[in-house]
Amino acid sequence: MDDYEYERFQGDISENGFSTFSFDHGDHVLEVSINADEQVVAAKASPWRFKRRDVSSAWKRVQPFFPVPNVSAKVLFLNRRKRTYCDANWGDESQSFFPLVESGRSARYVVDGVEYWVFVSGENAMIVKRSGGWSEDLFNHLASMFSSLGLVDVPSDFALQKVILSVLEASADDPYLALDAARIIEDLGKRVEIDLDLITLSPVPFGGDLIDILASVGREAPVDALIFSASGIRDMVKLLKSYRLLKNLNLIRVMERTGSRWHPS
Amino acid sequence: MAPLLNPFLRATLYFKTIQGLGKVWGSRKIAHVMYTNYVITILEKLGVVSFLEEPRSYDEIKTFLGPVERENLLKNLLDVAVRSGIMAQHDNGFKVNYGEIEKLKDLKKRFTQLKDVDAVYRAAERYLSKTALEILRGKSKDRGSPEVALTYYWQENNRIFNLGREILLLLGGKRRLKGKTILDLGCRFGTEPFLILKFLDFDCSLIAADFYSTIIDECRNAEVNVDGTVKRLFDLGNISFLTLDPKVEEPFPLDDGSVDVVYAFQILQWYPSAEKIVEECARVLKDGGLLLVSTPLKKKPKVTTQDVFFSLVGGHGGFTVEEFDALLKRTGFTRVRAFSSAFIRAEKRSRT
Repeated sequence: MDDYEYERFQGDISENGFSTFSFDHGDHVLEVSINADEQVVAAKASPWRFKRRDVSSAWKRVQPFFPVPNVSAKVLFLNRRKRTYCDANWGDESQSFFPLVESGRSARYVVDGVEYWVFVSGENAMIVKRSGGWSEDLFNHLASMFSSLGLVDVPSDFALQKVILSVLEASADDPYLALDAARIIEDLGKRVEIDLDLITLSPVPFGGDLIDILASVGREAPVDALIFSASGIRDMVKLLKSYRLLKNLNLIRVMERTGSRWHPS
Repeated sequence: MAPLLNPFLRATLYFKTIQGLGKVWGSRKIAHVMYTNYVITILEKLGVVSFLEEPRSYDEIKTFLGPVERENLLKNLLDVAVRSGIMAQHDNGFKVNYGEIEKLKDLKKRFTQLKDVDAVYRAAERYLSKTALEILRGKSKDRGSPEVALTYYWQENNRIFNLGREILLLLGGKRRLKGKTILDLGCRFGTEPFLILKFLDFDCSLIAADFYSTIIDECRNAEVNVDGTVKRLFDLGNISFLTLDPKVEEPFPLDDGSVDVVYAFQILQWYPSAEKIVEECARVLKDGGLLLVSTPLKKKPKVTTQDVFFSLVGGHGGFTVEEFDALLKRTGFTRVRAFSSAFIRAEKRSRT
């Protein structure tokens, strides 16, 4: 949204109680009316009537996301300051949705019966195309997770994208998974020391898969390496759900952030 | 400390215990077998049992175990080993008594109740023996140390522990506890606060408190099943969380006279500052408020196998019945009643 439109939005809200956005889809325009809480009060498709803006020239697509097997969540990762984005499983017309992040606030939109959940944290943002229905708890947990981002650049951060995509895929079964994921997100870029002996001896059923993940990175490793060692969605969920417990039992100890971020080779 | 006077409540508690365990818990014999077997496991894993096939002097044992800094603890360990019969002391030193060890191991198998504390035996075999050695060598450990916390995490859903928790609640009385502000002191990882909430049909305001922020973090995030829906403990309306200073140098962050009930299950024996903890309980309780405590009490002041075991895994020791009775009275409690040798109910004396 440019300054003029934003002022218009503010003015409409104070005058009418709602404001209408237009989404340019080339052959038609979607009009979405939003109230002061940024909830959609009406949506309709209209013939094209506004001058089409060349959104794509303002935003630059960066590297493709790191694919996670069996994950089909549709997400746009954006950096609002750098005007860069990365799309995961989204398909065409992603640019039409970029204005949704301009307000700088997390919000839920419904366009043509499809939900779009927008999360903003500083310069970073993401838009999730929801196939499931509205869940306030899940939305709030995802917003909380997204607000735990440190100094990262979401469109180019593979580890973060892998965590987020895994959460979106598995959160239907466990809406709290987003909160667990926040714990590992806040440690991205740090290294951990792993007490593998005690973990292996422990009668707590961490499970062989998790122990394999931990063992594969050695006794000291970047958190990012842990994330990439978890191969499938099941392993990722296990890692995300166990990370807090491993930390709280001092079975892994987080060390200070050192050097540059680790990337999979 | 008077025994429980209310015959109906006494019968209820005995019934509950028998229902849960098949026989009455509180038998000092079972506790003796349990704690002596813990100590046997640790001594075996440390190689002390094999080492003492031949008589060895105290100094030889000390040398065998490495640079022992906590000599009193080693002396107490050998003393209880001799008193419990697993070692014999002759003029030429200490010698293992295999016959008594086998007998105690056999008794452990026969007490089916002890299957429920198998977690501790396995932890003793796997890593608590190493912890014990580190403690003898002067390293500091407590409830927040990974090995100890891990053992307790593993025990969260232990049947005996949960039975004990319920008995302590019954000692308080469901009707008396409902609708009240309850401080769960030493809430651990979440099982206990949820058990309290369920027992009271979620009709109370519960403050879950522990001495480590990491334990409170786990407690807050504990998964609980409410009417078929999996939730996290922090998402239930009537519970709040507090982290307390483990040295109790800082008072509990609660106002004077702000809670109706303090519930402290198997926590005091972990802290050398137990007296300060009880003083704080008295301060935060309202006049006439209820203190519900479960902690192992012993008959005589001498060091027991149980005391030694707790010391070897980072804890403190137990009180005698008289010591604890005197402590409660000194800190302003009255109408002290006990059930079995480990469950105590007391009321804060009213100032009026």
